[in-house]
Formats: sequence, C-alpha cells, structure tokens
Amino acid sequence: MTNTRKDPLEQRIAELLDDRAARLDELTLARLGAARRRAAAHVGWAARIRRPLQTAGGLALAASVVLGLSVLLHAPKDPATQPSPDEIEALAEDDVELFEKLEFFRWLDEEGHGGESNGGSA
Amino acid sequence: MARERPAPAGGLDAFLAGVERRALVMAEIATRSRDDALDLVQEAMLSFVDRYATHAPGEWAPLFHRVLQNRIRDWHRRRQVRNRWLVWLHDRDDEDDAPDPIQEAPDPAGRTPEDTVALGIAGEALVAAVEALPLRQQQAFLLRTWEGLDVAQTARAMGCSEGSVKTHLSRAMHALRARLEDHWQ
Repeated sequence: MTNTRKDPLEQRIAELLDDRAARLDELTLARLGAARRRAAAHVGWAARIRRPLQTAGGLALAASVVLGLSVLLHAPKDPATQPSPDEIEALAEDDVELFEKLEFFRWLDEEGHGGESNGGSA
Repeated sequence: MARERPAPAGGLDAFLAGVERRALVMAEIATRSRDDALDLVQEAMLSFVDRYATHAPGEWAPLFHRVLQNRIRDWHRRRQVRNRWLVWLHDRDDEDDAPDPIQEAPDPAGRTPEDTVALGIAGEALVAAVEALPLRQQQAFLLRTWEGLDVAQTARAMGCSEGSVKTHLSRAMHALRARLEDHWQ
C-alpha cells in the first residue's frame, strides 16, 4: 500500500515491502486463501450458533433465578429462632415433670390425702 | 486526521483478501518465520470475524490490525519465555565450550549468513533493518508508514496512546537512519 510519502527512506521501504507482498509464492497464497475462506465461513457459523447459544444462556439464567428464589422462599426464616436440640430436650423434661406431678396429685386424691378437701381437723 | 476507508465492495471477504498479504508480511517480519506468520494471520482472521464482523466496515482495518498485533505480541511473549528456559537449561549444563542454542538456532526465515550479506547488497538491508527494530517500534512504523493508518488508528491497533505511537515512530525512524546510513544516503 504505497501512499504519497515525503520521506524517501519511508517510500523506499514501503516499495520493498509492497514488492515482497506481491511476490508471495503460490503455496503461501493458497494457504492464505484457505484461511480467509475458513474465516468467512466462520461468520455464518457464528451467526447461526450465536442465537441458539444466547437463547440457551437466557433460559439457563432464568432457571437459575427461579431456583434461587425458590430456595430463598422455602428456607428456614431465621435459624436463630428455631429451637435447638437442647431446648427441645428441656421442653420434654418439663413435660415429664408435669405428668409426674399430675400422677402424684391423682394418687393423693385416691389415698384420701387431699389437704383442704379432707377437712384438716386432726 | 483519520483517512476514511470505503467499505469493500465484496464485504468481509474482500476486506480480508485485500489485507491478507500485507498482514502476512507484517507477521513474518515480526516473527521471521513464514509458518508462524501464517498461523498468526489465520488466528487473527478468525478472531476478527468472530468479534468485529458486525462493526462498520470503515472500522475494520484498525480492528483487524489490533487483533493481529495482539497475536504477534503474544507470540513474542511466548518466545521470550521459551528462550529464558533455554538459557536456564543451558546454564545448568555448565558446559562453557558448548554452543549457545539461541545463537546456533537456524534463522527461522531460512537465511544463511551469506544470504544476509546478499540481501544487504541487494538493498533488502532496508527490510532487514525493519526486522531488527524492537517490536513496538516495528509495529508503529509498519502500521503508519506501510499500512497507511493514521496516528489515532495506529494507537487503536497497538492499544496505546497517540503520544506513544509518535514516540515509537520517531525512535524507529532514528534507528533506521542510524542502521542504514551505509546503505541509504
């Protein structure tokens, strides 16, 4: 590509390079042409594959968002408010003590040791 | 000012056909290897159409050269790493009289010392001097002087500022004149 150049050195080098580009051998030119055709074919391939890829990518993104939201919505509200195993065990122990007390009062009633109901006059 | 480039009549294929020979010569000057240059141009074409085919045709030239010059720079980085390993391995051999593998490596362009002398006699010393430039100076010189890109387009192709392009170009011209004073008056 020779342009109007003022510098003779630049002009001479450009001419030599032009000559070098013009004298490329047939094999090299064939390989260049093959590379160019491959690139041109790649344009069509890229256009064909890009749209499905973009569609698939969009669907994958939407699915990820839905999955993420569902996980968030169904996750425990706040782990700190959930009873811990120790608390559950303490509650169970409280229940056992309550039943033991009820059983004790029922026995007192059957044995006639009900305090105030039995008078209290000794 | 940027020189407006009309859209090639044949579209992308015509653009690539119009630029491929100069691209190959640029890559060959940078690598001194025809095979490596062909690989770089092919990779640059594929990457260019993949990324920039939808851009305005007037932008294609600087964008294509940006891709190509990046490939050339990557090639040089890989070559430098390989050379460092070769030097390290050579030092480990601890053989003072062994030949330097880099110095002894054949010229990738296939030239013998006699060929180089002949090139100088034939005036190809000018091109050899361009080959000997540091890569960035070489890129600035070829893109500006041969490919005809303006400063802004060259800066875009090289991924640097316009001031850097001017600096590289000035140093390139200074180095060429110094190297070629015996061949060029």
